[in-house]
Amino acid sequence: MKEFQYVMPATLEEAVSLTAQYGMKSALLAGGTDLIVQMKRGLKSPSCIINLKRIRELKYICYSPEKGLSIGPLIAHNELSEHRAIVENYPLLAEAARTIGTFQIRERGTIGGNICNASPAADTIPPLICLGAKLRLQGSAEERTTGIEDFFEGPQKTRLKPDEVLTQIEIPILPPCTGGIYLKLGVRKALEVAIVGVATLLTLDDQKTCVGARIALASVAPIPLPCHRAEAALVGEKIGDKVIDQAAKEVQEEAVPISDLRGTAEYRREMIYVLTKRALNEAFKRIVG
Amino acid sequence: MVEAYHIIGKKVPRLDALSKAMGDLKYVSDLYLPGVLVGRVLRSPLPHGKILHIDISKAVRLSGVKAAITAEDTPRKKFCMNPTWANNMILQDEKVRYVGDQVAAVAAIDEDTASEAISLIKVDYEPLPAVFDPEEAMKPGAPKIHREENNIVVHSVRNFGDVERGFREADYICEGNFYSPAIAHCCLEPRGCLASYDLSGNLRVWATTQTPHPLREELSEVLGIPQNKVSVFQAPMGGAFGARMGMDPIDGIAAILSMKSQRPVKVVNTREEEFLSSRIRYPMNIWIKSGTKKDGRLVAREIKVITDNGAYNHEGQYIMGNAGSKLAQLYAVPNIRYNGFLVYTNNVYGGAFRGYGNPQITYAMEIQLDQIAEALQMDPAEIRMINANKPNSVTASGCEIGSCGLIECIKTVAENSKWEEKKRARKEERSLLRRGIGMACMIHGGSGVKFFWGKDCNFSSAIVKINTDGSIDLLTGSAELGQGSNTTLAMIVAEVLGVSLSNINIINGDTDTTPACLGAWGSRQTFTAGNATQYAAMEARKMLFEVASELLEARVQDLEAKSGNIFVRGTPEKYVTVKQAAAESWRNRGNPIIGKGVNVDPWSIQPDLKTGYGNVSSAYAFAAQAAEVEVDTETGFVNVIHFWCAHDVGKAINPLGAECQIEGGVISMGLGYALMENLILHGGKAQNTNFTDYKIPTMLDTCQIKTYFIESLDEHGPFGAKGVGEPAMIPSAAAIANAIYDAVGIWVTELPITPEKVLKAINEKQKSKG
Amino acid sequence: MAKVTITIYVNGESYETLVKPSTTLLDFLRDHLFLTGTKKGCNTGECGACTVILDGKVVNACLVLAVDASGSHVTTVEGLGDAEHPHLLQVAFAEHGAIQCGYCTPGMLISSKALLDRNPNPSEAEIKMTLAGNLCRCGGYLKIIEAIKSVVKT
Repeated sequence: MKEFQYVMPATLEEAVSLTAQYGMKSALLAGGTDLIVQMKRGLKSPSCIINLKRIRELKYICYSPEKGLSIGPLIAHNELSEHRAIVENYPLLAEAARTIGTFQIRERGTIGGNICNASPAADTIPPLICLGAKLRLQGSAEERTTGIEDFFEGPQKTRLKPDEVLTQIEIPILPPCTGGIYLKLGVRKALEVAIVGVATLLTLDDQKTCVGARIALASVAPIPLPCHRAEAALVGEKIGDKVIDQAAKEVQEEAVPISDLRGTAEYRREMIYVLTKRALNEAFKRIVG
Repeated sequence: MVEAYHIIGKKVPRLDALSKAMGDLKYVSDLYLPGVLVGRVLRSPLPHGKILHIDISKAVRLSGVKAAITAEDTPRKKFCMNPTWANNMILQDEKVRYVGDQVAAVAAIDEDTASEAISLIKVDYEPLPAVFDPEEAMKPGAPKIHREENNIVVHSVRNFGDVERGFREADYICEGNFYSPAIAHCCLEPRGCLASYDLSGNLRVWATTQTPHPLREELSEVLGIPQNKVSVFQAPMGGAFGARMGMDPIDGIAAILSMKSQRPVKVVNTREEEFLSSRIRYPMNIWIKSGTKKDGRLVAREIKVITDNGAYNHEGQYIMGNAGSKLAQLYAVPNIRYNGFLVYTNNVYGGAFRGYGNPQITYAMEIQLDQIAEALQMDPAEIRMINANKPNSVTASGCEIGSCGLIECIKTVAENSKWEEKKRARKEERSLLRRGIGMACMIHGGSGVKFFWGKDCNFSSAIVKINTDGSIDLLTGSAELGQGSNTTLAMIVAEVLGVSLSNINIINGDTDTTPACLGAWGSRQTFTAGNATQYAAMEARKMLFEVASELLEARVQDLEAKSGNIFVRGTPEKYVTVKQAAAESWRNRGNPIIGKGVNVDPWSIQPDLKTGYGNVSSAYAFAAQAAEVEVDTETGFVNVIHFWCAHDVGKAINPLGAECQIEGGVISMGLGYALMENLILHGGKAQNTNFTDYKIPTMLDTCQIKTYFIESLDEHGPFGAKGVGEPAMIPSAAAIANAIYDAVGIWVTELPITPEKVLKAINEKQKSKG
Repeated sequence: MAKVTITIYVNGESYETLVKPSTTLLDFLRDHLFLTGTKKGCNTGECGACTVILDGKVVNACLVLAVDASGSHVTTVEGLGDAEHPHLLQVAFAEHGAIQCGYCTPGMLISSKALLDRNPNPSEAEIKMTLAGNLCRCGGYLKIIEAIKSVVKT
């Protein structure tokens, strides 16, 4: 790795002032499970590393049935996936976190890191999109909130400004009769980057008609992909095989998979259909029991 | 008659296990010598190019750099394990021939300085047209990679019997194409070498090597240093599987850097270098045709194989030849033709890899046999029973099969896997997840072979010394790769001398102190080193007994050794201890107990160079494996549920060790080879050079496995034993492929069997149906 | 760039020293403290050979900066046990044939120990999930699972 200056701010204020000072030449260090690898491979060479881990206000999980969930970016994937409030109320997020890399990576890698690294294959992002997550960003001049869908520009590119730090991930309370799942397709059962990942979230009324639908995919586009057309096609419909089938086909149309080391575009296209169908069926089952 | 042994056949934990568990055992990268420098290699980014100029001046001037070398600093001698084929160099001088080819090297005080120095070396290349497909490389007008007129390293043809007549007489003929890709060894420890050249001209080398004595010879030859001034110490290894056979350029690089800098130098590959520039399993394109009678008996087999040699020679001709030899060996088919092309390309070059060409050919042979069974409406187990080799038979190629338990192997896996029941079970056509069971068999040399170096070269030697306190030293030239050979050899000594295992200290793979052995390959060590060790122990016992006979006033032939005592058979209460006898011999007779044993493997020969005829191995190992899988018909994902493995090992000297080999071979390698491993090369450059993108099985990918030992008691093997190391994974991929066919009615003939390929085949089959 | 002073506790002993910020915990353990039991298999957090326990969590030491571990407690394989008093897991691994070449062993032992510290009675599924990040090319994993189970029973 190229040599760098190392700083460890104690407060958020200090961290923001450092990011403002160093701008694009700096990198924020959370778990390091992406950053250190990228630096070793020569893909990133920051001249200053800002280690955020002393900042307590960035590491917390708060849940209330009224306000919903609020997570600090430094929460590691294992901690997130084992947290009772998340397992009970947002199981698809816990499931997604559990599929990341390996146990060692999950002990150290953070949700903030997963979001800000912005890999199109990131596993936590599709569930966060489905859950309507909002990101709070603290800059030197202002604090702002953005929907997670608007956060990504391209592979490994976010709209985080050079002087900003992600400080919070907020997830609202889900309506009753809501269920969702995250499914990940890989060749192996661990240490996999998704060939295709699908997150779904459905809300039904007491007639089992769909009143809310969210679908988001990993590894099928330059950024994590919400599928609004498919969602719209589901709302107002009674969930059944035909409706699910159509929605899955709609998702296929919205996705733009490429061929790479992990699979061809053709296979991905077919798996988008299969996994979306399965994810919608499972989400439905989780609601009706 | 079943012999009662006191330790042979018992499950014995590895002798070095605790030392490994403590983190105490030192591998090459853990070793330090005072002043040791870090060595790094500059590798070619081009697949083919002339080296016009190398400027190392900036690297040399960088503070902390103690040596920077190019080909000019080397003896410029070409090398290869068998020098007849030598065309690789420690550092290339004229051309680079693959991405990863070694061009220059530095030694510096630390890793960062060494890396920086490498980045400061400027090389001017003239890119040359490159060729990556061996079939393209064979064509006239293809880019010339070496001086030869064309890129065909070797074209060899073998005929046994009369294959034309065989096919004329066949009732059923099947032909097809199969492909096995570039596979990486993925030893968990990257290759490394620590070299120290002293001012008196002695070179000491600690290397990740399976072949310490041959490496010493190679280094001596290539560097121009007399053999008795070169010492090679086989460091404990984090895996080998054939990757560490023969000299690697970094061994020579470390030595020369040490000579230049006058300090010890350690060169260790990065993981990326392990994928990019280390030898691989030779990719093979196999066209195979088999003919059988109505009853399923094979009467003729023919292959044409095109093997991608890669840029430089290593063992391609032997490996391809070994693959071809299996046509005649497995099932003793009487009429054979083998037509093999080994072709240069600008890809990373191949080397020995567990199975030595056999996994590739077995994949083709054993799937084709199932295809024939399907056409003849025969059960795959039944067709194998009909064709199975018999003991005391000779193949068309002159292989003298002595012990053979193949039929027993097939019966054992069929019975234990509930084969018949599962084959008869109605397959639910519409279900999403479908199960299937498949089988494959194999034959492999169980004692090493004589085709490498010379006419009659497959030896091992050992020395057993008994000290005056009764403790024992076993000096063996063999290599302990982590496969447990030291423990097996110690068990042999313990059995012969009637002592406990804890009495025995093993010194292995040290060319200064141990007698010569050709090393660990070809599943030969149990057999060849085992025999040598047994002979040495027996000679030591003879010396002990001579002393003991006088002390006990008995005849030598009436004596027995057990539990550390020597006594007349039948009267164990009147004894002398091994310690007493050894001390007596040393002190009062001036005759220290030193037993020497050499096994020259007198039962095999180097096959005729023209015809390939001859008994290539002293013993042959056999196996049958059955695999049960579940296929997801929507995604193509294959879940391997269970493996049943019956291996004819002659005699399982250490059943625990042998079980470990088989489980590891099937799960850690066989599953990976079948379902997920593929070193993807684009423009000659490996694309997936890390463990995320090059996939080997994890603990979550395991299946259940049951292992059975068939002990056919080979008459030549120590205590009847034959090799097991390679056989472990040879039939696994074919068993899985055949199980997939049973589940979903499709064969994938191009490895690896990825979900994508399975799904494509399922879809194509559905389309063709209706 | 300037070196930084760090204080790390490794296997119960404290070490104060100067390191370059770019030094990983793995290189620090191996090259500065000569604790070579923790192995370098890939250097990019994919093989698990460098697994250590850092403040109670299993991590890949190759992905942790030594400076980031200042003030932390690290357990390596050398801290598990020795010849006089081997850890139960070390004995179990040796006896069950769970060790072949031994290169993955330190990482496997550390992951196993941390698992049993967290849950003294893990299911097979949990064992596999926790150790899936420790690659083994020799052994096939089953004997490792057996060894861990044998310790759980005691």
